[in-house]
Amino acid sequence: MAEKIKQNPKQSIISCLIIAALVIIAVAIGFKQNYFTQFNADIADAANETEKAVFLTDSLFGEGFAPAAGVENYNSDNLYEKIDGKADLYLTNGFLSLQTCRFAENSSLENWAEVYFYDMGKPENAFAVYSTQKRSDAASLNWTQFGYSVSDSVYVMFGKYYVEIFLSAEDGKLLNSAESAGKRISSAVSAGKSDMPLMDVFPTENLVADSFKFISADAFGCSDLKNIFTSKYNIGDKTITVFLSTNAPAETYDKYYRFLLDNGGEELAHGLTVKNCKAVNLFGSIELFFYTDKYFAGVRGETEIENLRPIAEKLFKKISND
Amino acid sequence: MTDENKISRRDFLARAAKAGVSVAAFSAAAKLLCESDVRKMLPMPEIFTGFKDYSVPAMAGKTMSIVSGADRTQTVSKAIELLGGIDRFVKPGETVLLKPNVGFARPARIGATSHPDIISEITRLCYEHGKAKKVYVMDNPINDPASCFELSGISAAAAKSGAEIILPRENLFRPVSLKDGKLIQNWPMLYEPMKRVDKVIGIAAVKNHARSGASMTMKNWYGLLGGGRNNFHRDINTIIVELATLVKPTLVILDGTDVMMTNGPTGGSVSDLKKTDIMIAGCDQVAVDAFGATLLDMTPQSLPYLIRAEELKLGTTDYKALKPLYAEVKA
Amino acid sequence: MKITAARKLSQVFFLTLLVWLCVVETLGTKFFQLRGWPVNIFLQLDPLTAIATAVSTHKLFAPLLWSLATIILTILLGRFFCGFVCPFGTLHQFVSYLAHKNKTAKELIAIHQYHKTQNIKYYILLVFLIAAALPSVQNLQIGLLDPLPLFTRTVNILLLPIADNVGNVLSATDRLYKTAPLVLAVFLIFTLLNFILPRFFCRFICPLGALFGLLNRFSIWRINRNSKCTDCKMCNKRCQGYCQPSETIKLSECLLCCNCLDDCKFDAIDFNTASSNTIQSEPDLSRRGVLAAGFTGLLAMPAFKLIAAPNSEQIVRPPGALSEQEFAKRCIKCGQCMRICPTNVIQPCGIENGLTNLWTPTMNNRMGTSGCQLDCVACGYICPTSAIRPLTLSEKLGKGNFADKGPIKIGTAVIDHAKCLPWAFGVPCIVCQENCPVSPKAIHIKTTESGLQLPYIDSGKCIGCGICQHECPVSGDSAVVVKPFGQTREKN
Repeated sequence: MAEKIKQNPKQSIISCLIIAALVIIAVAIGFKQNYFTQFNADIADAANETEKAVFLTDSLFGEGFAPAAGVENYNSDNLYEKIDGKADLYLTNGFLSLQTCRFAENSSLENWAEVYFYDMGKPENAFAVYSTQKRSDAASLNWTQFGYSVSDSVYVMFGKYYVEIFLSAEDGKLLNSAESAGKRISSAVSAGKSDMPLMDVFPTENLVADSFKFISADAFGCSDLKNIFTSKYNIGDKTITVFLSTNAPAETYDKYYRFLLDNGGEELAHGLTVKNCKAVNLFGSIELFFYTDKYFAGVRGETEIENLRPIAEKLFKKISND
Repeated sequence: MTDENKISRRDFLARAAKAGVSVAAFSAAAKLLCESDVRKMLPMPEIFTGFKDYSVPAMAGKTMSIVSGADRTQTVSKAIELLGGIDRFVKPGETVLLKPNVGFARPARIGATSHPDIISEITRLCYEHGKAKKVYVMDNPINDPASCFELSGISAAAAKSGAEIILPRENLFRPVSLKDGKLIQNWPMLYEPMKRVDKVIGIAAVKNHARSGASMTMKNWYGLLGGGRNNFHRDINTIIVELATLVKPTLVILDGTDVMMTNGPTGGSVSDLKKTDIMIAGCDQVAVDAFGATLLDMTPQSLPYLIRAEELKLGTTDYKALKPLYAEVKA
Repeated sequence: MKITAARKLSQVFFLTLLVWLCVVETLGTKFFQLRGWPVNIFLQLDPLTAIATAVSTHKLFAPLLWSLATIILTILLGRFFCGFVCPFGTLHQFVSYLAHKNKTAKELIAIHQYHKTQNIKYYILLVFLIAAALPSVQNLQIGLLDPLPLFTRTVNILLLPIADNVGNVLSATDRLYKTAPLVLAVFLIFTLLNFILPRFFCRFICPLGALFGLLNRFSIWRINRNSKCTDCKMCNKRCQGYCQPSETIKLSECLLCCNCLDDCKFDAIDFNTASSNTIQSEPDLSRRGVLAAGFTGLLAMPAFKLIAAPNSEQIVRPPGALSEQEFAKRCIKCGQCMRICPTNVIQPCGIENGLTNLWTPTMNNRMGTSGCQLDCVACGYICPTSAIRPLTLSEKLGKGNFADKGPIKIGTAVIDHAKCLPWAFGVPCIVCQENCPVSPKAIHIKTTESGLQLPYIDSGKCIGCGICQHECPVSGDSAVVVKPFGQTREKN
């Protein structure tokens, strides 16, 4: 019976408008569903990332200080923007992320401290950048395993993190605040003692405290010797050096041997009962080195080979069991 | 037809105008009320930091008095007199709040609550010699408040002497925070009456207390707390010290006439009480409690809250150094 | 094309949309999961939610600003929402059509008569708004009858679980909700009432319809009857609003179903801007009725609270729930939090928690798949009125900037020594300790001399997630129960 009514143009127009509105709503909703609700993204993040903890909290410097600006985040793509040429050192050592934040004293804003918080992925990497940059004259911090301060900055590593705090001035009070901030980060990170399996490989007997070092390139003048950890030992009145690297290219052993001979070294009988071992005398400096599938290691010092042999043997035994 | 059209047109315009105004009104209201962060919508809790200082200037040698005697009316009167009389503490026209311990709905004779005689005598002194404008009596008891005031005899004593009882009504509590306090943070307390009065006199009895060792004048401020305060019993020494930091009283009265030696703080029988016939008044609540501890056969050093209070310089546990004034009232 | 055809299309569209938006409330990024679907849009368009929460909180939560669009369109056009959008209305209209399709025109005209009793919905609206406005006993109960929360709740905790539990497409495990029978009863009653009179709920009960009836009095466009009318009364035949287009049209009741445009054979009814004396724009409200409703509103809440209401503070609410008083001013019982909760642990309260708390969310750790999931803050983000406020993960877990505040506590677990296997029966069992997800664990073990391990709870570390309660092997009620004490809820 509805057909009897003549089609009313007004009704048609209104109907079209209604349908147009429905289409617009449908399109808008279709569009909207592509923009994920924030928490949906958050939860996906939580599922994908093991832990994205924030250590640069507003209260990091305690009362009397506040962040002068927000936390800046850097990744391997834009690290140069923040630290320029120094970025290479970090990038070649497994750099993951950098967070920085500047904290200013509430009472006088020109007193500030800027925290650089590097996530290096592994303690070894953090140690590498820490030890490479360590000033030999700096005072070690007594409250942490690896840390030192100079008059206007504090440098610490905790587990896989490396932290630098730069101060606006040489100011004892500010330095104390920076150290407390370091302690707060330390407890937030709760890394405890930095667990670096590589360092446990070094024999502990006669070890010179605080002598661990990382050399990222051109170790001992050899361009093929890269990314090695070294440590000093006192044998009698002489100081010798033990070095160790993991995952070095297999040819490192040969290249180093060639390097020593090319520079006037003479091969010696090493008298050790281990495979893949060589001894070279380079103008009085004796080099004993050795490799396994996993390690390239050695002992060097300006002393008799007899003095190097026990420690070398100890080290070689340890790593060949690995 | 044209007339009708005109009317219709005018009517339509009026309607359209009203619709427009409605739309504008709703939009304006929405804009005015709109808030995207729910935390900003929540009423900001008004947090009060502490009470005012009710204490009076110290007078050398007149910080603490100890009076022996069995009659509380006489001993408390004498104890206050030794300290310089009530007019040292209460100035004409001032309002005074008495804070007795009215914790339990039990008769006065078992000693679980402050004795009504003390209330009436101090009220009398305040009015007659201090020329106080008004004396209030307040506590937040453990048992039903109205019953506590009735059964302890304090209601009657207050009515007789003209003091006004303030029951712990809901609207008198305000959240209070103690600076650097661990427990008293944003915690409901009887803030409103405390804010209004000029002087505060704490009145407590010496009682054995299972959790803290002894309940005396410092522990008495517990009766200013509201909320689920019994949680604080886990850390009783801290809460007592925080309360004593928070409240700087004009005067405290410690009643050692009958000391509750056992089954405190409720007691329940006169056999829990020991007759020692001592009344203490003082401006230093730590010293007064330190002396009170000796009535319970304890040393002040055995009560951790006294040691901590002394460390915080709230008072001294070495009450002898204050050279208390002694007197005796014979019946 | 006739307007009624467009209307039916619109009704089907919005009913489907509401159901679809309930379907997609599963965390995830597939097209049928949450993504960015505007799952709260109906509740946000609902002016009653906005006005009632504004009345109770004196503020308007920003997402509810959408309702302004509905309000403005209603002021200009009339009750288009009832006729074209409301999914609950659509359902009623469809059921009514089925129920009454065999009736003759005469019978239909008879049952579609306007009657004064249909104004009862205005009084219902007034009762709820006054109850919401009362200071100190502020309590928002509009969600009981507001059709959008009501229907959303019905779909969320009744219809979808019934549908999905057959095939477990949306959820791997069956979704179960505690008070579903009561939701079913309400839903069935309102649906079956359509057999007595078409769109019964819309006509007599709907407080949202009543609100629109108050808003549309100045509407620019309206249904008008002109002088071509022959008084055949056919226009009343399928009138969905019972606004009697054949007589003086009750504008406040007209919900723009436009059936009268179709049913009039004489072109006597039109949708236009004309003013006419055959229109009554305000509802038939008596002063006495308004006063009575006002009184009822004043008394309703205190009375509601007295009826078997234990202390509401005793209810364990989802993480981020505001303080009970502020929560009660906002919760519209829509069930969105219960739907989104990935573990199904958020459950509707029954009447045992007091009438005012009916269908408000609580944590029932014995139900669902596993207590409150640590790395999840979904309920706070979905809550349309922010009764549960959005938390970030770091705030919930007390990390980063919230490290000094510590994690959000939902409650504190307590062990019932009379049921606990090692405590009561000496049987070795430390399932609760093993499953405690916080680090360091909030449940620790002390070993007796005989070697029996006894669980103890560290109330300071416990966050009340309820995983222990869920996992406890004791049958029936768990031997470890999350109680509401210690919960982090905004104090005020």
